[in-house]
Amino acid sequence: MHKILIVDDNFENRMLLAEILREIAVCDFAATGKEAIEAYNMSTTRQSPYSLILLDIELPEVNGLEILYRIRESEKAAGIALGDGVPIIIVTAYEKRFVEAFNKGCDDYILKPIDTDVLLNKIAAILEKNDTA
Amino acid sequence: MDSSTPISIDVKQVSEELRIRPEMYVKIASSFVNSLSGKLKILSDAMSIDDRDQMRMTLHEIKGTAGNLRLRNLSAVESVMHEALKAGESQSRLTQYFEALRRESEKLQLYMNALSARN
Repeated sequence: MHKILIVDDNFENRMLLAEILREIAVCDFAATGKEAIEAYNMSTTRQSPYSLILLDIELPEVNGLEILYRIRESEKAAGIALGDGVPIIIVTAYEKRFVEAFNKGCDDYILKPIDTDVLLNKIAAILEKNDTA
Repeated sequence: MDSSTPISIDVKQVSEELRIRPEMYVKIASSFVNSLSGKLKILSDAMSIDDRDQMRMTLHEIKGTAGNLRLRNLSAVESVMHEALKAGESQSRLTQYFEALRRESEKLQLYMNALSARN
């Protein structure tokens, strides 16, 4: 089983995503930007990295784009090249945010309302690529 | 925006579309619907002081989850209010939309409670 971090401030969205992913992953949850950073840091400290992070953009405290930036900066500081870090899929209702998200190093995006087939295909493609790397 | 439209959710069809278990759909959707009164209170408070950022955030949250759960009536009513907010419409117009949203939420709550009781 893969290990996926779901970052979303809405409880029902987190539950829905975990239910969609139940056959392919064990999920951790973060409801705020601060919790997301803590979960990510803990995963690297314990050398138990996430297979993937699903990251909502609109979050309290620290927004998703800032989290994305901080994770990529942390990886850079650890000598991890862009593209070799934890895969991150941005989840948003705003198409306009994609360009900014890609510039900050996200691997892919999914639009809300979530299309399950699209989501699972995108996740499978990323996990497959990483499994064979 | 017709708030007299009866609510009908085909749990089997929506669950298949989302690829989740029907009982989990009912559980997650009920949880969301039961949280709506709290979200509407936040929205109402924001309206009373014309805090449009808070209104936008709350509507955005309702929209995202309602859309994900395919609660189409609620999404439709929310979208009208969201667009009105973005267009800078008057407080009285927003209040009308808010009342429609509240009525739709109450109908949905009754519907989901009955659905939960049957499951």
